[in-house]
Amino acid sequence: MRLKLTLAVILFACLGVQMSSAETVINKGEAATYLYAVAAKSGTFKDGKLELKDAPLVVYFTDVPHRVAGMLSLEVFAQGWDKGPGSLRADPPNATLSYMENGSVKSVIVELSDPNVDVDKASITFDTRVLEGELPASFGKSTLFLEGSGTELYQQ
Amino acid sequence: MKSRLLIVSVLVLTCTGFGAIAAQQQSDHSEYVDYMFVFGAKSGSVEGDTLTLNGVPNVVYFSGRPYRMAGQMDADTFVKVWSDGKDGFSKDPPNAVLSMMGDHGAFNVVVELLSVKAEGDAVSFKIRKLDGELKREFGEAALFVDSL
Repeated sequence: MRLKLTLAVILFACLGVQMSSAETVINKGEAATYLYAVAAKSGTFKDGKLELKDAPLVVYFTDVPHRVAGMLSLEVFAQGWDKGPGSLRADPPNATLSYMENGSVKSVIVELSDPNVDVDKASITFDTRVLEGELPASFGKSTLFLEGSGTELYQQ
Repeated sequence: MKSRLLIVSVLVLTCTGFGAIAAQQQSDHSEYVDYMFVFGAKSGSVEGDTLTLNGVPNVVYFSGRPYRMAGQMDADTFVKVWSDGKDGFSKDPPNAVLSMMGDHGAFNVVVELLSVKAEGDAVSFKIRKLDGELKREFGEAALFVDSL
């Protein structure tokens, strides 16, 4: 678990809330941090396994000054899990799962490890430990957000 | 990288909550927040000036610094934002990059988005091509839409 990484989830139901608490502490000279998003049509959580179904692909995005955005297939994303000196396997990332429930968005903070992709079902499964919130046994439209260093993982 | 203390806030919206972003932008002109919207799709097609994306689970958005927010909304909400915004997309059509998976990695086409419709998990846009070659049909793709 990345102890130095804090995912602050801000529930945002009313208008005009200032987000200054979300300021980041990043030195400009450092490598880009990648934010990955896996959007899925539905998902399940059973016996510590989180499965996201009908997830076409993974999109990623980096901050300024790098400003890179792109996409990866689920397979390439899962293959990258083991790569690099600071691999996600060695240090399982925290992630936020946002899902829709009765027209509103709920969020759960989880720790992810060991991704497995089923190409035919366009699904990805993680061993998952819930850190904050409650993960329902099944849910609908959802997005999993996680951070990693794409520089080592995916760039050739 | 691990020594870095990084705080990411995930902005969670209710279906009607997107107005919060506009309100926030107006309240603080010195720190205007840019958003990028991303549609991931299982497949897509182009017929005439209509781009259709199929199997779109939802719309993901990101902001840059200093706020670094990320969240999701359903496509119907995006359509509402498109038409409702005070300085909305409909008045100033956004550019977008359609990134498609090819045999040799992803390839990109730059388009201008003129209008949007959502039906089930399909989202279609009237487009004007700016750069690149569009295919009539394609597989996995992501459409990255510039913010206002």
